[in-house]
Amino acid sequence: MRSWLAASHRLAACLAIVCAISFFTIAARGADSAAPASAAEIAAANLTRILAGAPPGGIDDLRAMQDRVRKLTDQLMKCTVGVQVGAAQGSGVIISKDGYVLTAAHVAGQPNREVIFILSDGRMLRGKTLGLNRTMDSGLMKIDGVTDLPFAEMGLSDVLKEGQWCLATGHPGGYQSDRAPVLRLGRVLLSDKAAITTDCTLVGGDSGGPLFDMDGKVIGINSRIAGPLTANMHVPVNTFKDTWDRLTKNEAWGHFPGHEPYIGVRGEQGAKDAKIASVVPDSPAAKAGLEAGDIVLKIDGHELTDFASLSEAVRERQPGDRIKLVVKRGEETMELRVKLGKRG
Amino acid sequence: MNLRPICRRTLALAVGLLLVGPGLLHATDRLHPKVLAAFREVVAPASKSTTQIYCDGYRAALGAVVDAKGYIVTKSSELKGKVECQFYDGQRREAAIVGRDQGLDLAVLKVDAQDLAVVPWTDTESLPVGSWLATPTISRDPIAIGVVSVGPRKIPAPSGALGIQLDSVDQPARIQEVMDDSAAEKAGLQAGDVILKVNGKTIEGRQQLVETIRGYMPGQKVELLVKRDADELTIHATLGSFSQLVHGDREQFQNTLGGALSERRAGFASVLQHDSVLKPSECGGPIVDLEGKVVGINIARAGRVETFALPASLVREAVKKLVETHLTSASAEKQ
Repeated sequence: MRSWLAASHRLAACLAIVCAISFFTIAARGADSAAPASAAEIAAANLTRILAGAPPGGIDDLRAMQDRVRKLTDQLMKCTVGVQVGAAQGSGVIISKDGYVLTAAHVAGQPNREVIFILSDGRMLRGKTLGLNRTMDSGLMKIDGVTDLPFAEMGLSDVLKEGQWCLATGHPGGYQSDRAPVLRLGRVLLSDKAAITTDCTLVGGDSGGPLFDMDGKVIGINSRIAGPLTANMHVPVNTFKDTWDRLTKNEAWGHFPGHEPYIGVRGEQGAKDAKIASVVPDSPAAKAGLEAGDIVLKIDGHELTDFASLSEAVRERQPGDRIKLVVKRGEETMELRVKLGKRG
Repeated sequence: MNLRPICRRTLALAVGLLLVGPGLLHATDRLHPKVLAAFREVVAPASKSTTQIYCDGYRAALGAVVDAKGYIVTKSSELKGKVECQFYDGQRREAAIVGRDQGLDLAVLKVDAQDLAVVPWTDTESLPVGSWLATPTISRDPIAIGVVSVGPRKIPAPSGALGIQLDSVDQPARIQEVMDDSAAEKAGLQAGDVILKVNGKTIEGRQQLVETIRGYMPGQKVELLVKRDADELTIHATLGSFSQLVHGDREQFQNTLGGALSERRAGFASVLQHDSVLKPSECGGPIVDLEGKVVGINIARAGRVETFALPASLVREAVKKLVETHLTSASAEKQ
């Protein structure tokens, strides 16, 4: 409710009218509770059913859907932004009047990077990347020094039903000054905690842009595609809410799919320390000279208690990172440097 | 299945390939037969004025009847060989190409007929973003549906690029270096080659070659006559674009994920962008709004997320000129 009131005077006026109508309806029904539902009520209930996935019956149903989409479009465009981070161009969506922007982790790249935001009216604003979760591909950004931006509310991604209609916007191919954000209509095909799949077609540049439900609330963030036109994946919006504190504290965690760090050792079962049972041939560990029987004492100066703490320390790093291990081999203690690879 | 991050340009390294287990199930996508069936009433009038166009027996395009006396408009660049039009009633007639508008990539065909139903053109100039659009064929249900994604705008013609560095001396046009992954490299051009002709046109030197290639669009095929040492060879190259040379094939690759694109897909005075999924061979026909009125002609499948339609007013103007020119020349012939 707060978001609509903040959005614009015109919307506030619309809202007032909607409130007035519902008040009237309630009052009327209160007077005669046995009265049959009005034509408008039946139509509204029917539209809700269709937007949730029931097949439209014909032109009247299609017209009702179209009215809803047209009504939302203006507001959706206003809160969709183009973002430039270094050489990367992507999209984002403003979700608060003070300029928090949801995007994809692979657009943000890292915390604390300079970002240029381009609003749908052409305004260019500066800001920074905040936290990001590479595993989910969620990223947060903040526009500097703003207090009154148009924005979209975050909806719920854990109640999505297969077949419900949705809308995606973004800047495919990157921001173009002669083109507003590009609207696409589709349906939710699959939805779970890891991703929402829709047939709102996406392409390079759409990353970070919003997926909306038919009430104009953000339910996902455009993330990735595969071959079929039905393979458009979005980050479920709930992950942003669940990790909001970490994101606002500029934390970066997780790994992009296919970029899990890899060292190539197995631990000795039941050992009370980080003892290596075997080293995978040609793995980063093997190249660094690690051998079966070695006990890893430290990684980059941090003491290890057991093999699990070694695994955890590796998982916190990225493929390509160079780590320093202190290793005990027999009576000898040595330092080995390992360049982490990637799994698979 | 390969999943690809859809940020533009960079971070090609950031996310690689990911294998997902089960195939994607989608019993309820937006092209579900029940959704298409809801548009039956919407496309009914326009489908009677839509034609399936065959070239040498293959489905090449759709077309729209624009004059009861047998004039049909379609996408020019898809036409080749023997052209036939099939109508809603199943009748198939031979057609002659009587005029072309290269700028809009439209062609007007003429079939021997007197009383064809003309497409119901719209009167409204602009359709709001988010409005439904349906693409009729000569059958009951539309072949595709979508919404207006972007209002009318110009799509400039990008110039083609071979991806070669030329000798600094003007004559002859000798290749100094072939750029990696360029159109030239794919076609097999080599450093030292001298380009003598482009599509039969003699090339005097460096400057003329540059200007000639710029006159073509990315995606167009050119035939090059090349002198290599003592030999003269004919080499066919499909031109690339400057952005492809700078950013590599990634953008192009993503855009073709999910289907082929029209060869001619840029250089239009005005288009309405929508998200209907069409094959290149399904362009050229009418597209209707929810009132069943024809708001434009689908002119190109332009990317994974974009299909372009020429607005009705632009098409009608061009068609009028082409039909008038044809009638004038036809009556001149008679005299």
